[in-house]
Amino acid sequence: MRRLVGALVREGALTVGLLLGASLLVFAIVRAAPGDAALALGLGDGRRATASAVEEYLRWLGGALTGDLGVSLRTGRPVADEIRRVGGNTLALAVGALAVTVSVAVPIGAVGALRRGVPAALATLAAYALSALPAFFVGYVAIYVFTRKLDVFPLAFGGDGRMPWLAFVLPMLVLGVANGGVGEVVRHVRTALERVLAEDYVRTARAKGAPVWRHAAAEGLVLPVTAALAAKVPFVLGGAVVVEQVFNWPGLGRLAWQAALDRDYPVIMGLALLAAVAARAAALAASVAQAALAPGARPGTEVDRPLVMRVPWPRPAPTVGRTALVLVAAAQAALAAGCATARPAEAPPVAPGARPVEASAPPPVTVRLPAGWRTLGADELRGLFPHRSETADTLLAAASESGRFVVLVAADPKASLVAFARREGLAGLREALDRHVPGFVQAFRRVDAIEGGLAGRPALYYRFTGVAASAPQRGVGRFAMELIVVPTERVVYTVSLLDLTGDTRFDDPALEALKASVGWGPVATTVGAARGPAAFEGTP
Amino acid sequence: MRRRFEERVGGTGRRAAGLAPALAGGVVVLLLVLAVPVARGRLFGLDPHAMDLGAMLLPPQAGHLLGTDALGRDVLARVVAGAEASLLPGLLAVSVALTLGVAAGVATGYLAGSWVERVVSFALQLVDAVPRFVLFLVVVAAFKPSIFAIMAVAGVTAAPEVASHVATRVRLLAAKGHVEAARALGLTRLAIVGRHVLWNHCRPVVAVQASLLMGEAVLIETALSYLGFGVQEPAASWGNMVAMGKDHFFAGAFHLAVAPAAAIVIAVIGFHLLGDGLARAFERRRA
Repeated sequence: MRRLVGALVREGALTVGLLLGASLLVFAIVRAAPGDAALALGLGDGRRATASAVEEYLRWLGGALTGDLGVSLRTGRPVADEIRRVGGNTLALAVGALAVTVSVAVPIGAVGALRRGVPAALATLAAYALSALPAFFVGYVAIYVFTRKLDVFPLAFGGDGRMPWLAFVLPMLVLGVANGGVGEVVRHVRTALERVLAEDYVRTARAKGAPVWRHAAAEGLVLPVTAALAAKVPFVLGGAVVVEQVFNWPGLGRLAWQAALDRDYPVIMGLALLAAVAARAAALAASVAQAALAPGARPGTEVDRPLVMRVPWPRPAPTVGRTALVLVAAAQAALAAGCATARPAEAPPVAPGARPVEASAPPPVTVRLPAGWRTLGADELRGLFPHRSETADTLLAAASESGRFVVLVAADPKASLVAFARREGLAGLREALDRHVPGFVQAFRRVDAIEGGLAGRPALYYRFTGVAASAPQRGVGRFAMELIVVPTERVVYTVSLLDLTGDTRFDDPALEALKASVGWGPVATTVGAARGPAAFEGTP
Repeated sequence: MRRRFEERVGGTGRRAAGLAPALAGGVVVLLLVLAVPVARGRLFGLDPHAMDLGAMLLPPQAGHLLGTDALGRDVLARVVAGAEASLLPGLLAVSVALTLGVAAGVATGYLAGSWVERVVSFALQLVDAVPRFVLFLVVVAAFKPSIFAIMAVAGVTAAPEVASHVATRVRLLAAKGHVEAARALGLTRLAIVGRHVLWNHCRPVVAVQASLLMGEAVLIETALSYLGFGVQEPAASWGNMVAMGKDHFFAGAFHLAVAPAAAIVIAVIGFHLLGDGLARAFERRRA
């Protein structure tokens, strides 16, 4: 008992040290950011000139200790409130996911330890294959299968009225299965169980006819599972960022993602601190469990950590140790040689009229045009967006600044949504879109035309139709959007935006039906684009 | 630890257990690696950037074996080219992780009990204290998203794992006779650690860790690209291909996401099998 208390005190002191260190680390990274992070942190307000980094850190830390994490730059609300608002969703997701991981991985691990044969090997391999899949891919497959095809689960957060808790199930399953946790827990359970089952006391128990499981379970199952789960908590939090994105789940992961996107320093720092606390709490819980269940083990002794996954291959194969080494060496050599000798391919033949490539520019891209497309110049571009002339000018300015891009413009005025809407009316446009868009976010329609007209440089023009979501307000609206994409710096210019619903409403139950009808998903803001000056083929 | 376990449990059958996985993994990795020069040199006339706007979102067919994406680019060419984007940053992560991890592992293992060990092991625990993915987001928020910066951070966050494996081995070895003999011969500490501990006995651990880390790096790149912080378009990476392909997933254009996802799975499993096989091979040799 005394040793237990001693261990707890030591762990507690370590925790305090680690959390302080973590807060310092996070603060240092943000402070090192270019630009005035202190101002962004809301600590500036005139005192910036005098406040040293140490003072800023102490002020931030002091606030954090009293529950004041500052104010979000984006929403202007206290970070603590933001976290409280969505924290529960992430907690539910994470706990559910861990439960799923355990209930999937433990049986596989146990079977792998007890049985050797084709089924065990297959189960273990399947667990690893699942761990090797990107979580968001698993998420999309799950949505497609369970929601679109089978209609088992409602999709959007909050559900469509039938059993709202069902909406929780799919994200939990996906996060639990696909965050790499299954493979890890399988590995831990297998190794620990194999080791324990080979221990003398288990053999003795078996010889006596005593129930083996009662002896082997604590050390062989519970300990490795708690250890693996505690080690997995940080990864589950990381996986939550991705999975919440896939399922449009309002939680801390999306908050962190949004904050990283917006450079919302107070939010991201607060979340990092929270994540560190959570991870540390899990580690503490694991060591308490260990101290309680296996008092013999010295505190801090790690549970045997398997180096790699073990697939219980059914039959022995010939030795290829040296071969494996040679292969690795060859792979390294080939990679080195490949990197050393690889050159960008030679430039494709440049179409007449296109500009010569500058020396520093990236390799040109071949863009083949469908027949009948033509190129437009700057004046025509301006003419195309009379109602938003500043947009055309922005584009032109960006074109001359960036030194490369394309503006793709409709050759046929009818093809422009703006023109179409002017001609047919909004209702007509909506009807046309409904007819053409089977219904998914960002269904690509045709690229209507292309041009090297802006100083002979490439850019792309798209029309999108679909559903737009605004994450913080959870609003949704159907839209058609014309985009001009500037390839280099992820710049996307929205040229025109038509709200086809006419009245975008937020938190409206009727929208759930709309979301269901179009296949709900996050709206990406970037699309691919050309790199460097394009050489257009097929331009008249 | 493992060796003791092997001695206790391991019949000869277990020791001789399959090394074929290593071979398979090695071949897969080799293929991936060869894909880099192929893609760069465009040996087969594949251009991952060429757009054919008259042929967008084509299903797999002759001429485009894996179809085309939303910009009319050949998916096969991009999958091949994506190997480079996925593997090169991974190498950076692995180099950082191994350098830091081995140094820290030696410090904590060989100098156990000294103040150096305490400082280093606290630093290692500190790196472990902030969940890796959150750290990526902090770095992304503070600096421009760059896959190489992220991979350097990934390398740092992977160092504790490497260090703990190295430290375990070093601690075991430090008590061994040959190390004691070397010490008695008056060899310098550097020579003992470098030659008799690290070079002769820690290569297996390091090689296995490198292989596993490469697989992990592929998954990190994928997840970050999905969130928009990884390899940026128009450069092809498996991650941003799956991310882009998901937009068309529900419209039935599965090939866009499935092809790069399959590449990811093959690569990750390949690296894992390689690690597994390597570990077995080394164990066998030791036995």
